[in-house]
Amino acid sequence: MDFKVILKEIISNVEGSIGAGLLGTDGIVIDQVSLKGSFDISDVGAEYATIIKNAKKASESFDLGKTGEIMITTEKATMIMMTIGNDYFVAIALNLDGNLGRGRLEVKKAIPKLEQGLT
Amino acid sequence: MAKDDSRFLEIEEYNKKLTNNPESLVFVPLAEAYRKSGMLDEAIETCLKGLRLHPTYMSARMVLGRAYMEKVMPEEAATEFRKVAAADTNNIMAHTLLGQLYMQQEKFANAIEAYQKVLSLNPEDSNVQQKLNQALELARQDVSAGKQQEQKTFKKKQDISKAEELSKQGDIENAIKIYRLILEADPANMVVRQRLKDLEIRKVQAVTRRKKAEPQVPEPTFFYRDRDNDKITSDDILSVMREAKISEKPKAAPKGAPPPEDKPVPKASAPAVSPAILKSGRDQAAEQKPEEVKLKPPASDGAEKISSALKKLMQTEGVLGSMLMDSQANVLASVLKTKIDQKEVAKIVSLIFKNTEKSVQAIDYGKEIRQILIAGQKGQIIFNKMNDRILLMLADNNINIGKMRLAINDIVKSLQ
Repeated sequence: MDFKVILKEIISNVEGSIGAGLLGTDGIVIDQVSLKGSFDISDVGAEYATIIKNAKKASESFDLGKTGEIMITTEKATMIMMTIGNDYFVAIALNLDGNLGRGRLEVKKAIPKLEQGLT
Repeated sequence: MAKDDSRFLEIEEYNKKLTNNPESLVFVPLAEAYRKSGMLDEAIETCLKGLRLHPTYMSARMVLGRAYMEKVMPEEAATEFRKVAAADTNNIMAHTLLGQLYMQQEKFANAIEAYQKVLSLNPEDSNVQQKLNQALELARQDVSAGKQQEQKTFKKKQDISKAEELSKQGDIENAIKIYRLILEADPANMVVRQRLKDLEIRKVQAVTRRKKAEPQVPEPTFFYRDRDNDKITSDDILSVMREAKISEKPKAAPKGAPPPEDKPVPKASAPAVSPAILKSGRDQAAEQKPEEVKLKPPASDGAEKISSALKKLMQTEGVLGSMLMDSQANVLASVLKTKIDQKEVAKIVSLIFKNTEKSVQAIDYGKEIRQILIAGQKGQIIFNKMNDRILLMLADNNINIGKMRLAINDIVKSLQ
């Protein structure tokens, strides 16, 4: 399965997207695509994994159940991360004026396909 | 075969990137790919080279440690894991692997320490619990290591029994003192920490009871509840908030009702405090008033604003609670059940916020987090940064993410 094709489909359907990546919860990047050079997660996969780890900790502390989605907004961008099973997650970064709703939808749509390739 | 091919392609790709930019951090996934392909020498060499440029990059040390481990170089592996554990004391993987190495080296006392650390970070890990039991058993058989550990455990058990006895006799003050001493010697002991917290709550309760001179105060639900295994019960937060939400139905609440006299009296500008969420039983439902807002306003003129903003938030369908805290994890205002250990909640939130912000900065997606939203199967939570404060909102799944963001953004605007 070519994960790049699926990731490309996500970002090409979402206005304002910068890039998308598929990672393991151990921080190792499986694949990524980018519309702008600024999105290169191969160096910083571990940081994404830390974010997921923190979110899981929060979910545990607040009894939210299994973590499904994390959305982080900074002064520069918004990141949406959705978990795929226990070991993987997909991340998409958008400009602040990006279509967040569309981003979430496209990622959700892509998850079953990515899941298929990961099992 | 196909898997091997893809691994080599991966290695080739990472190598290319590293050649283009030798200072890149891509050496870590490259070394990991080498390790997974069984090319341990290459993995070690790549890590060592990269670490010369990035000596504080702990992910690289983890990969290096694993490679050493697989190459059966336990001393070198342990050195790397120890460095990671020293830099990031909460790194569960480093402590777990250290435990594993110590077990292989029959350093049972060290293994016990490592596994205890893991359990203090993740008390639910039954696998590590099992390993700890195994280490304890082996340590007992090992005369030198076993004796030392048993002596420590015995002393601790004696102290704990004494504290328990005192607590049963109602001598809470002295029981607290003993627990504090045990914690000083063993700060990672979550069981003792939990018992100390329970006693401190009991102490506050006793003082409150005396003040109110009420013989029968209904037992409130605590964030920390004594359970059979004494584990930290932070997962009670949501249920407690739900109870608060259930009891805050404002149907029969008389508007402008005066604050009850038996409550901690807020400042003049603070809202009336309702006893509703302290009460239980259907017969009291009729007199329930709007939810309580506990306030420690930073400035008195802002108190009313904060109070009404948090109350307004609670009127949104699906919202279970909210809290405003400062960057030092001090709770400024909250709409929660009164007896929740809010300080503990604030500490958790502050830690999660800071760690996540650090990671976002490393990714280079901004200097400051404005909002974090975490959605789980049973509920969702938003942390919203407002200057140096954090507004937290907890909700169930009856509210969608869009509405949640809208509600919190409204409040943030009104507070700013």
